[in-house]
Amino acid sequence: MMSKVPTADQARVAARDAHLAEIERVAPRLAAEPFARIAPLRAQAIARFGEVGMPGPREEAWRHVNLRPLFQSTFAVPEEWDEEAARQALALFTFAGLDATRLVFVNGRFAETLSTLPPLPGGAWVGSLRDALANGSDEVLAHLAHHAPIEDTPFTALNTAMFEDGALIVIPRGVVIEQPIHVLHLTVGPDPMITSPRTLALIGEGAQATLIESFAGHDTATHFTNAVSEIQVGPGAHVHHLKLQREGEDAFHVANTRAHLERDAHFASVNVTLGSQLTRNDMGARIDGEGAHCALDGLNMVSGAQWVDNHTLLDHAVPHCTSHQLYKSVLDDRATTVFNGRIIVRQDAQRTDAIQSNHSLLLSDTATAHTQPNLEIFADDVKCTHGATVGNLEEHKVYYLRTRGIGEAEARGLLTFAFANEIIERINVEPVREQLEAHLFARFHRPPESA
Amino acid sequence: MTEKTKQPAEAMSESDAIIEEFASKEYRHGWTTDIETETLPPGLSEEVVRWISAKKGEPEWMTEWRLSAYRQWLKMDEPHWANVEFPPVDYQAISYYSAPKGDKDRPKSLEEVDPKLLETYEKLGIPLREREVLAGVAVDAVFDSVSVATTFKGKLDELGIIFCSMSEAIREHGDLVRKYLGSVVPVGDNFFSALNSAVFSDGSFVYIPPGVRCPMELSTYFRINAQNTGQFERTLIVADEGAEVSYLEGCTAPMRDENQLHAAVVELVVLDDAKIKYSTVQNWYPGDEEGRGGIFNFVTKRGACRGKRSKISWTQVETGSAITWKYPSCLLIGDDSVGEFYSVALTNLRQQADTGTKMVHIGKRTRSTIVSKGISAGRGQNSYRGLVKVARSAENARNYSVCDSMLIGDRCGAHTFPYIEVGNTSSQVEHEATTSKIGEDQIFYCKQRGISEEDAVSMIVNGFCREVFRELPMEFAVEAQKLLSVSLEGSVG
Repeated sequence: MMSKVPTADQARVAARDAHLAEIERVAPRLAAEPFARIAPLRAQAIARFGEVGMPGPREEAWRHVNLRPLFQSTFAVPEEWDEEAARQALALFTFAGLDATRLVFVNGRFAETLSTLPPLPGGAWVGSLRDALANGSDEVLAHLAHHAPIEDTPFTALNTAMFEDGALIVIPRGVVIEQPIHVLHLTVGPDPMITSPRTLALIGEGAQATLIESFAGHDTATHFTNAVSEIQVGPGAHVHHLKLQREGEDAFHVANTRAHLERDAHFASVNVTLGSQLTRNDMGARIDGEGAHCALDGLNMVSGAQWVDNHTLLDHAVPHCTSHQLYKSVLDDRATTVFNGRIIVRQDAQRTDAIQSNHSLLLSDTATAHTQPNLEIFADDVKCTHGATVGNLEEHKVYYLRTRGIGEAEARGLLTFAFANEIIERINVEPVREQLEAHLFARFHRPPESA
Repeated sequence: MTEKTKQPAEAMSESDAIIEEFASKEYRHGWTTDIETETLPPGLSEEVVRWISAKKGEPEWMTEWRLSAYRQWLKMDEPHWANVEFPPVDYQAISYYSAPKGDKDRPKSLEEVDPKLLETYEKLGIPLREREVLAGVAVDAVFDSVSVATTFKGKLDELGIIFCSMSEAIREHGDLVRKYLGSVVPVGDNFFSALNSAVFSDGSFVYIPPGVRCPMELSTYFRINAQNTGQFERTLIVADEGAEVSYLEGCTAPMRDENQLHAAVVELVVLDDAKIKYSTVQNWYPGDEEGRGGIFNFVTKRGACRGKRSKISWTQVETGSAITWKYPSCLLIGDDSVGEFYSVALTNLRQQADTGTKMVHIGKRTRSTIVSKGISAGRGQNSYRGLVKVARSAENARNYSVCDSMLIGDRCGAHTFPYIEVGNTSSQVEHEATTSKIGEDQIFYCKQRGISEEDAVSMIVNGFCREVFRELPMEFAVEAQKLLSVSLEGSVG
């Protein structure tokens, strides 16, 4: 323990300054040749982060998340990484039987030797954002930091200031990619470090793709992952998106994911959080074209002292669109979850149909669930509903199973599994769904005691 | 609220002329009585707080209490988290004490009262005599409600019920007031409650002794000296063990008031097995079509269910004020205590309302119900903001919340901001909300049966609010229905 404990404000300022000092230290790397064209964006992002600093509990959007542990550690931008260690870690986080285009990033840098990049049809391109920037693509520059602008959150500005690489996915008009595209961000190393994963997906008109973003690590070091993903869904395009977070148990994970939907676009996202001590997800979609549909689903399965804060934002800017959100949490031990869902229906967005639900299942008396399902509606001809429940399993369901000869522990296990599995079922990639289901089942299934 | 209308020079001179004429007219009637001593110049300082306290003949502890509130207020900032917009309030431009109006500057008869106001009374079906009282007409001391009040007072005294103004209570029942005042809403609870604690003008005090069930609905309306309690009202109601009371605040008739800022504080204390039912109908001046001149209503209302099996029920119908900012709350401390909140909030014209409740479950098996109905019409913005907090100690707590919004017209907004925090497994918390509009088919059905569109809307809206109106005392419920119809006038078609 330090002799003097700094106040919350001092800790925030110190954390900001430490990050700024780290940016200063690696400035030559961040200003390297490939980033020449985004130099002004970088400068703005640094200025923005310096100005707003780290968020505090007095800001409404950060009220319920205790960032203090994050401020107390110092994180270095990673240098070299050990390929053998990465290869071993990778084996833990891939999916058996998954035939996918796989982009692997280790400590924020593209690892070509670990990636699988089969040729893609129709001019679709998947690869390193750094390389694309080096080749100077105007399309990339037009979208980068456009859907997740630096003003979104202080961490978005920090990522924009610091990212050294990222995944770029470009699916041209009308191209259908059958195989999922798996972007795996791996953190390996013994010392606390900050990584800034960045994803930009540009899905053209009528194109279809499945995108899996997974964040993983199994070290005990307190790594800090600060991710930003931007997904542009063109007219009539279909995108399935899965975000799977399986970081080390002492890690910090902050992510801002923004989708932009055009006319008749279809975007379905499943956001699964299993790891890290502190997670903050900002998941947002702006619906900008008529006839679009957006689904944002999520599952948190947390125990110990884990803390997960999910903020969703569905911005209906135009008429005749539908959206639904279903976020579920299973909490054990001293875990805390926060759900803050926001639906905005703007004045012109008549005939919007938006549903938002959040259900939390508490398995322990020391777990805490906060839920804030918010609606902001400026149009009159809309159908918007939201619902939230927090509590234990319903006793009559347990009773029903018991009358059928199933023991109490097994009945509770089954019901908990079923509760969580409602989200897992929505994952359209079979090997991933099966593995997660197996994980859930192992976690909750209590076999009957042998008679 | 944000736009300032620019008047052409011609209009300016015209209005100047009117003001001049008006001022000189008032002067001719000799309207200068004791301004120096009866009305404080604008501004707030320790001297002002001391002066108010001295003026009201308060004991030393009360003066100190006000001063400590004032000192805390100085350190606080005006809050801006609510979903409302208003121009900055200059707290030094407000006069914090003005003596009740003398008969001289009141209208002499109903003929002198604004005809628009009278028209509304007509629609609400208020009896003639009451209209005079409501419009502030100077009437002889003996009129119906006074005599009614006197009769009531006798009955209440018999039962040991104390029902009087706050100033009287501070003088006559100092111990009780000292014990409970500020115990539910602490002096420094928030910016407006601190301001109120420092400068509150008057209000009501109710004490129901153990085991007494108050035989009638208590209403400020029946309290003789309730008039002109001013903009900083303070109410304290204590229900001792096993006591029961139903309290009505406000009335359905539109109230005109020249004070733009209202910051009231209401505290309820409920001991073992006691019950308080608090009903409010608020219809302050909402401002004109452009939102000019309406009342800012920043109220802190909170009740503490201190005793086992105690109960607090808040029912409110909010149709007035340019800005309403109000969260009647329940602290459910005693085991098995119950909190209820039923609300109808209507915003029309350019009104803004940010209202809801807080239910804080602390005791075991505590239960709460929230039913909130928001109606937005015209350019109104209506927000529900509510907190349901279940502490670890609140085993088997139960909450059920519904907040429904209805939008009439496409220039208005309806927003919902529920906060739910649950800290144990045995509790169940449910929240539901829907937003809808009046269906074309519903209107068509009514019109088919010869009901005009306006009547149909009024019927549908009243049906939408039925769950809340059912909780209002009988005569209030009838008036509230009429009030909604009147407030919605012109918002359809």
